[in-house]
Amino acid sequence: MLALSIVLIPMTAAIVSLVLGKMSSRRVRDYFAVAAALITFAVTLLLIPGVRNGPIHFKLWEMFGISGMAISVNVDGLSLFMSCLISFMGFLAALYSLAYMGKEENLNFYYFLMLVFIGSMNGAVIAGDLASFFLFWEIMTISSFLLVIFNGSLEARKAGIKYFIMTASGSLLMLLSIGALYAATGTMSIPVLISQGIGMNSWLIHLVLLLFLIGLGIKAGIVPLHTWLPDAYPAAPSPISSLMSGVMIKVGIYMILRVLCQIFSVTVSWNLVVCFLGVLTILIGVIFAMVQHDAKRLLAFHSISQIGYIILGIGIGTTLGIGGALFHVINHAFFKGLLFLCIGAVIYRTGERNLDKLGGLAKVMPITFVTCLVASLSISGVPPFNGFASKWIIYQALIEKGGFLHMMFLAAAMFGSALTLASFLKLIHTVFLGGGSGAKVHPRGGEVSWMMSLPMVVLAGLCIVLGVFAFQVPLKCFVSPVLLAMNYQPLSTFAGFFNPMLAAGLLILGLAAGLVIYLLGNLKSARTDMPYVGGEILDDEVMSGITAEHFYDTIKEVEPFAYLYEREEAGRLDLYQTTMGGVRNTSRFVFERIEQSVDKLYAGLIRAGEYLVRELRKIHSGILPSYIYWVLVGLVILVFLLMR
Amino acid sequence: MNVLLPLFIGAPLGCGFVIYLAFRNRDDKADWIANVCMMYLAAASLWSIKSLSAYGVLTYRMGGYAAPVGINLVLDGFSLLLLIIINVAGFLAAIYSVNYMERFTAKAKYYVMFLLMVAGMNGVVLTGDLFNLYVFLEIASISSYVLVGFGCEREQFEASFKYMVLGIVASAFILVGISLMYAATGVLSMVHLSDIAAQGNVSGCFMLAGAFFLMGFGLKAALVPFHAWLPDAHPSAPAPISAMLSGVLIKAIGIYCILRIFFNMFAMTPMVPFIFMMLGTASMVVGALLATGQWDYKRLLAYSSISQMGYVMLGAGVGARVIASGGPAHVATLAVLGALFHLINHAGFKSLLFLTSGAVEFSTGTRDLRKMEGVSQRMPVTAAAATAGSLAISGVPPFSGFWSKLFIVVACLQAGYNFLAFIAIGVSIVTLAYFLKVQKYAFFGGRKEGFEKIKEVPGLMCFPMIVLAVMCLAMGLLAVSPLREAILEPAVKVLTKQM
Amino acid sequence: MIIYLLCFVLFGIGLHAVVNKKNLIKIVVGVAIMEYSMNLLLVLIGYRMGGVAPIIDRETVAGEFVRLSVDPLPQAMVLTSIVIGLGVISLMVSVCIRLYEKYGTFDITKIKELRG
Repeated sequence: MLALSIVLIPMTAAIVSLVLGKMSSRRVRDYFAVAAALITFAVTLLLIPGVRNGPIHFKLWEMFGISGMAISVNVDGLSLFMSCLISFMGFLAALYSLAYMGKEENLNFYYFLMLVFIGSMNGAVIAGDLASFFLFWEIMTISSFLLVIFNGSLEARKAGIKYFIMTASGSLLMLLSIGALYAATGTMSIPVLISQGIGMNSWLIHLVLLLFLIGLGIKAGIVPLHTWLPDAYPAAPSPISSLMSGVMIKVGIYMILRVLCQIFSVTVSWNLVVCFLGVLTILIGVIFAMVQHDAKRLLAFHSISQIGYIILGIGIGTTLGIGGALFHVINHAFFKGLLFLCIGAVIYRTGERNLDKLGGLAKVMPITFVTCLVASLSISGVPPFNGFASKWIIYQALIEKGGFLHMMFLAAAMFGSALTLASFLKLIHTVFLGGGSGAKVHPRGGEVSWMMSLPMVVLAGLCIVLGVFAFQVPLKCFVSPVLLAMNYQPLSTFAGFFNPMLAAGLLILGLAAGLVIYLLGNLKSARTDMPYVGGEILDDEVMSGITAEHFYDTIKEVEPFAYLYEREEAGRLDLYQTTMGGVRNTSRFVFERIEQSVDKLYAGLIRAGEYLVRELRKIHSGILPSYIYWVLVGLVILVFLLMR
Repeated sequence: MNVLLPLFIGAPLGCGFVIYLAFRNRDDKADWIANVCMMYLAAASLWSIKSLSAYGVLTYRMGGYAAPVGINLVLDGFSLLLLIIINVAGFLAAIYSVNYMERFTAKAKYYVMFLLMVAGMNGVVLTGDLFNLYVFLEIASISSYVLVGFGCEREQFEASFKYMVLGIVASAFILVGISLMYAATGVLSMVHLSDIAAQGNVSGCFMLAGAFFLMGFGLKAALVPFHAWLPDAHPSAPAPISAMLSGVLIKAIGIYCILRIFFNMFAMTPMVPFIFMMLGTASMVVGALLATGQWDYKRLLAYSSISQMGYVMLGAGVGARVIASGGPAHVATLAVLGALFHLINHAGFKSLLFLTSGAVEFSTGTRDLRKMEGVSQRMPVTAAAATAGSLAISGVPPFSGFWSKLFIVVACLQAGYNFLAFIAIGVSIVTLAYFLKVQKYAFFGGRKEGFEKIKEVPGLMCFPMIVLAVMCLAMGLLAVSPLREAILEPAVKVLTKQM
Repeated sequence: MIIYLLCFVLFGIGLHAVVNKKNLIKIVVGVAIMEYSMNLLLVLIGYRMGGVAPIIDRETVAGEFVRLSVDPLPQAMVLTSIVIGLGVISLMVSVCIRLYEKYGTFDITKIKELRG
């Protein structure tokens, strides 16, 4: 029952907040929503001791009296891991919304949707059968769709519809494969499927797995199914972007883990394909991220890229790989959530998310700057932050696996990490430091209020703690129990294990030494002067730095990238646009051919019908004797027919 | 329990009598008496479901004489179905009348005729005797002639007179038919007649009587080509009476009698079902086509009643045909089930639609679709109810009309009448088309000038509409097990006895 | 047999008046003729040649009564039928009067405002 309440509490609270918003003040509703999110998180934590003793599993209702189709709840280590993450991020996003969304209209609906969203994500991960998983998955899709289009602009609506069509068609494929799975095994129950295991012994099973992965992959944002992400995230309000990026796409990851590592006993070639997709996702994501001018769009591409690491880890399929992937799930949730909140804070103060128009915010918003810096370093995999720790484990897994292909993957993944750092240099530079020239938007007011900065600080702290104490805290407390529950070895010390605490100590030592030198030396009175080249003072534009637009412009001209960017700008790489274009062309062709003849037929039918009706109405002349004649004629016919 | 049976006839008769004698000029008292009486009847008819399933067929001997000599009241599954339709719809119409009839002067007299009509219909469905059926039929008919002309305008009198003349011709032939049956068999009790039918000797006298019955009751049921009175009479009556005429009367004294007589008192020959199917198809098509050309909301609804009765006859005809040719039992059962299901559904949504037409007329004073655009903004309850009714009658899932039409179409296909199934679906599409027209013109669309003063109708008029709108959705449940076994299946069993 | 046919002829005359006559009053008369012919038919069905009136008193023996008397049931029906006919015709006549007030004509073919 406790397990069920992490779904029921937010869902009920959603309706109550709708009522509260109508009946009492906005404040009451807002605090109520945050309290509900907090309670959900607390209840999720309460579940931990129970699940430590073994998975919680119970049936709620047997659909049509068939035990294979029972609606059930299943909370094991993996589910609990995910729902802790969801509830925690949900709470932070709700808290952040208090101030961030304060000025918006129609907030009743916003909080309603947000709580439904949190509840449905929890529902999806604790669902004990594929049917109810699918149900919550769809609720999640619909509520997030409505949140994406929340501000109602044309851009948001376009992005929302793209998102909805893509994920809904993915869901359809998934539904198909759920049906096939039920037909093959006679059960929908996830634990039963896991204990049975499904061998890859026919092409049909391969197809089912493929459909499943496509459906889930669209949600998770795996290249080439990622194209909704960069449109939808910028359109959504920042707390929702952070929720979608931080946890919603992880629900897709959750099911990929279940399907790929638990339900199907996948073959080696599947593992390699998934690894390859992971690497592709890393590279494509980050390459496109580098040239974005829109802060949220940039972050969206990074989400894709980071999902690539997780997919890579899952694809490796060893204890280290899965462990690294799970660890990265947590880390990504934190640092990407944090990044969205930071950018949200910037948008909140400036109303602008175009990098070209931002700059020099470090002095105005120090907390935002520092937390954003921490997050950037984390996501780029700089030690001792948490991103490094999880990426390191994934690299380790690749090395452990060995072989040429895996080495190539390793090189690509590391390259992706380097590009990430490069991309975030640009972000930090253009937003918080000098930035480029041109018209700058001036922030209204200084640092954001505590309600917005608290979630940011908490997350930044977590990024550091999870990095420095990687082995003591997250791996031991979160990842290892999940791995055990999934029948993997717990993580122990492994080859090339690095000690993050030692590294952090050394780094701090180094920084301290630098500081001492800085203070001791004469550097305090550094000389500032005009930049000059060859004795000539440069003109204004170059002097004031490089704009975001031109930051990595040279990459656009390097040959393989140039090709990619060109295609991307034309929308050719977007699976969605290509498909929609194809559908449009086909339907235009069909209609032009068929429409005319159908039109003619239709018009003819209408005309015939109208004629008939007119004549019939004329017959009903209102003259009584003629009516009686009809009756008598009818009678004569009846008598004739019956007496024959 | 048996004692309750005569009360179905006695209570409305008695109450009508009391109203006329004591409260002829006291409208408020008449309201109370009539509504309490109808509430009792509705409750009693629903209560009968339970007693029927507990005791089986109930028989009440009037004056204590047994069947061939005395007159019996018999409550079996089929009667029960009609009893529920009559009394529940009657109750809702009576509530609606409280406010609606205020603008007519003689409300108390209206209730007298209303109760008389209910008594007549209850008598028709309960009686176990053919001549008695004729008497109750005439009671119901005469009161309906009066109610059609109740408005005392030119058109009402014209409609009433035409309806009366055609109705009397039909009644005359029915009486001749009854005389012929009596001449051929020497009994009038339905039980005995069905025993004779079971022996299967069909004389010429019998078949001539059959032709007269088909024509007579067919006219009361408004089957094409005997339908000409209906589009005049139903719109002319006050709205609650239109609802009763279209929703209940044509079923109780038309369809019910046809099915009762031909399924139970005639040995089934292939010709009778063939005629059923032809009459049904003709009604379906002609009614739907004529409805598309109407601009008067109530006249459109009246034509659509003809069309919907066609569905019922088609279903019954397919069922009878399968019985007559010794086909598979489940097909016959499905067809008859579909017909009866549609019968009860039609009572629900057509009463509802006529009540909404009354509400619109009550508020705007017009029945012309072109003059009442955009009423929905002013009358949300009415508009919502009309939408529910329209969707149900057009057979849009999950509303009730969809399921019954589905049953009929599936039965047609299973019995091999693919063409008829095709027509039934086509007519359903036409139905949707003309109800879209109603929705577009009457309820949605731009608002006309001078509509600012329009108000939603009073609560007592909203209540029956809301109840019926909910029923439009809920009656789909009649197809599901416990309700189907309690209400529809006993009725189907009565009709498919010959198998 | 001929008497039955004559009865149907009477019915036909009534029907003819209802269908072919334009005057409202003649239609009402036609209806009345139809009703009388039906009553006649009912009585004829129950009649037997040389039968006695179906009135039972203390002296008559039940068996003999059944052998001699005409069928009493149709006669009872005729009584009911006459009452119904009375009601119908009085209603018709009153509606005719009101129709004449409203339309100013007795011609049924001219009373055709409801059509289509």
